[in-house]
Amino acid sequence: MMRMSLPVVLEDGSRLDWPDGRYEPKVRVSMDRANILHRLSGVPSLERALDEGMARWAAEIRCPKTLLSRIALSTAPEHTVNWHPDELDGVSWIVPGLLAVEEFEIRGEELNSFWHGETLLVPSGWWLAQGTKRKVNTLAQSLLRFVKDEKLADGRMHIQPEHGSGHLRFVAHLATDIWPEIQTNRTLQVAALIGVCSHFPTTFGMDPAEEPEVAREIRDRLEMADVPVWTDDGYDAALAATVIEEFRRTLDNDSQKN
Amino acid sequence: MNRDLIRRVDVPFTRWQRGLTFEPKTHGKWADAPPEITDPIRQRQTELIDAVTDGTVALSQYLRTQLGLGSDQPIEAPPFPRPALTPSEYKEPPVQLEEELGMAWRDMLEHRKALASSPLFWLLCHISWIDEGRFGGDGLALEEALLSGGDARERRIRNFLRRTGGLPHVRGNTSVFSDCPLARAWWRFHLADEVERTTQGRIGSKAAHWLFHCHRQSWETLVMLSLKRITTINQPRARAAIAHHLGVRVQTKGRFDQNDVKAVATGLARVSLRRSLDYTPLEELYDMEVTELATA
Repeated sequence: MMRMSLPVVLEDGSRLDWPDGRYEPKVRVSMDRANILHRLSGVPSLERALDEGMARWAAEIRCPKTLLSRIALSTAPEHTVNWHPDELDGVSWIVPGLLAVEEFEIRGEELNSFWHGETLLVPSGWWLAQGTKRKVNTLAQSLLRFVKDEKLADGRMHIQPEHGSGHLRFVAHLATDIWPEIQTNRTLQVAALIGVCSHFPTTFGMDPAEEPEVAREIRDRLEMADVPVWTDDGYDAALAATVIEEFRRTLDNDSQKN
Repeated sequence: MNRDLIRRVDVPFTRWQRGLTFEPKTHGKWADAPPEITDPIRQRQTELIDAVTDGTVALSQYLRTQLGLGSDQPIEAPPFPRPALTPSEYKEPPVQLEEELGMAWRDMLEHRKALASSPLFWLLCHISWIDEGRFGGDGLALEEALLSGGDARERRIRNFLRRTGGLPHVRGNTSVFSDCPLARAWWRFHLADEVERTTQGRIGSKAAHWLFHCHRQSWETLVMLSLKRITTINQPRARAAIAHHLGVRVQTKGRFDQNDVKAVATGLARVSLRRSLDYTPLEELYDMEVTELATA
């Protein structure tokens, strides 16, 4: 008979199977790859399983719109998962974790008392540690795209909304002289995002019931950060934009986890 | 075809499709809608119908104009393995035709799922195929293939939009997989191919393709669950397990339907909370699926 439950360490700490177990992955996402650093502690049986090759670090890349789900395994705690840009479309996720690849045992004495000291046999394929899923495409990436605009004078930027494939997004037009920097200049990217956020009161309207999906996601993000949304007095486009994407000295997308 | 072309015409594509359909949620009831709403829609619908019935040159030009494409803009579509399709072949490709199409398109689409799941990609391909006369050269054949199925004008327009790529603003992301016959053909072939590779030939691609093809609602249910509700069944071994179960159903009961697809997918979803379906031995997955159905 198939076992219904085994101990697992969750990143969000909601499982108590191991008294001292912690799983704290760090994920950095870019256009065509994700770098994952898995960090696990307080779980001797799992650490032993890793050393002996019974378990491996894993990252699942998932894109419902292209019917894609793929898992990459690694023996090293830091690894990179690649994908071709043409594999993904729409919202995509990466889920880090630790996976049993062969059968092994977990010693009962390592676990909390509700496991009754039982030694547990873990079959192949069980998730031993699981991280929260992170979006591969950030909210900012799905909201905004950039185009070069030869009609703009040097140093200028212009934002306009557009409806494509049924989704609302915005286009940032950049003058030719600043166009080469857009991929690498985060300040420029966030400035564009501030411009986008200034459009929200007129583009999204004042009735939450009529908001497009991306507006609902942004509204949730702002409300969680306790920052005025575009229907409130005191709405500030710069503040809203820097809730979505902070100004930072280095690019780190790990704050995009859900 | 690269995605730059698709991105470039994405906005005109959406605007064109939305301009052709009357949406009760937006416009209210047709009978109550004022002429300033209904007349422009009727006018645009008439233009499309006229373009179809006028034949391939007129239709190609009409579509290119709507998307802002010049008449000399090249469109790289996957190669057609036959000179032309009859209207009935086009609307409901038999499984063998789907295999031919899949084999011909494999090189272009195998690793470019973002293209194959794009309604606009398939519309652009249709423009290229219309130019090549793949749906018949005259207006009657085009009309039969692309518009037929219902007398109401709105229905005929929607048939056109669905068949030539899908109608995402009405039918969502499942539309391209369910409504566009040629996209549907590709995806069935592709997933059947994947089943054969995943099972190392134990379930052949022909058998898997037949299972995905033989009951339309089951295919649509599989697509809907894969896209929206139970995305973990996109793991290749999960699809192989679904194909296995449907095959068992055919052997034991002579048939299956969409409820069987739901039951298997739901059972696999429960398993996937604890296990990676792709790293669980297939035999266990076949056995597990029977056990889960008992409690589903």
